[in-house]
Amino acid sequence: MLALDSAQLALVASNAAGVVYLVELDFSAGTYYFTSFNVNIDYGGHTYQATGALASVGEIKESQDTDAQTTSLNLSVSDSAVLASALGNVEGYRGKKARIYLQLLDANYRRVGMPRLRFTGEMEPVKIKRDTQPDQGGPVGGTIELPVSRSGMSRARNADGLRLTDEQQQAEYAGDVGLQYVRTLIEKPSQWLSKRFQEQ
Amino acid sequence: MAIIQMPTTLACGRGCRIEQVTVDAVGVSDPSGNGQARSYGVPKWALSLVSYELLNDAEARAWKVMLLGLRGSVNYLAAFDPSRPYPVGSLRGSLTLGAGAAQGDTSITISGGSEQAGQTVIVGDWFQIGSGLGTSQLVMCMADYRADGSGNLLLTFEPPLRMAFASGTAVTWDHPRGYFRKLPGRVGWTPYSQTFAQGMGLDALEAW
Repeated sequence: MLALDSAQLALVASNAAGVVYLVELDFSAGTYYFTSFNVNIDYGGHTYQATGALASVGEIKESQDTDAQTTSLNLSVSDSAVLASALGNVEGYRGKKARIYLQLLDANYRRVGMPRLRFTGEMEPVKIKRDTQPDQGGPVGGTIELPVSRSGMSRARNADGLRLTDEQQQAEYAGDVGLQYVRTLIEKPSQWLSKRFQEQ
Repeated sequence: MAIIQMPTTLACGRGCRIEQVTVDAVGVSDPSGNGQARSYGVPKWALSLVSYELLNDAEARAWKVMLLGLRGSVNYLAAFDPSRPYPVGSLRGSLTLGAGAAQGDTSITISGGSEQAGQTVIVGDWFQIGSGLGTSQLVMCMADYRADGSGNLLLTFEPPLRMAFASGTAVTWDHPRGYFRKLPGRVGWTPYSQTFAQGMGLDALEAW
């Protein structure tokens, strides 16, 4: 749910509003602060960098169920500090927190109200893409796509599969063969005939 | 990263162009036609420089030094509007901010001292507030104004300030410069003869 203060509500109801994101990424090397705005934003004692590091923020969905909602952050490969961290050990960021805030701006590009937390998630391994060199030369860009899953949901979804294989059942309850044929039944489903049908 | 200065005598011809690049979108309601503009970033100046039809060797050399010195988009170009290197208004002298200015402001008080009393700024005049890459801003005057008897003058401008400036910050009227990066693409020229060249040009976008 998005709760806005009165100034922000008035701004949203007006005919012009600035909308930018503030992103915090808890890499083990330190927390990175980025904004989708094209000017640095100082807030809360931190400077959210606008040096082209944050190219875009994916769609943020809200729902009441427990689906593992994900979004993605596209970071520019032109920021060498981010690139180095993303190319480094995946344990440096996988499963660590990412927070995405919405910040509204007025027509003069000034912040209106406090940033509003829109998404908290955990970072997953990145995909790095470089653009093709144009025929006429010139600089080549690219993006680091950083998937972010809603906190806890990705792990909860994985938990659904626990104790559904014979190996997991043996680890938990040694000697219990109740799930011995689960995999075979899933891979080769067969019709179970009723006792009455067999007696005919 | 180096800053290349656009020569004050650069041979620019017809076809130079200044643009403002905005980062926004408009959402419109189909039934009502009402719309809301959404901005995602501060506007930037874009600059297209085009040379004379025919450049002599000295003029061509100045262009070559500037174009090649940029090393593609690696270095920055400190450039001014070749069609308006000085204000059309009469304000000159040593100008400073008469009061501090906040981020988002679209007007400032300029102090020029008593010798600037009665001098003017005219719509379209350029001024550079502050100095240096990332610590200055190129703005365009949006309303005519005449300085008071103390040489103080209200300057309204676009775009809004990206950052705050302290009272006493220098304001440049003589070849006020913004900082630009060349857009992707080749640079080149056409040799016309041993001493003449044609076809120099550059497209650049403001950067900070």
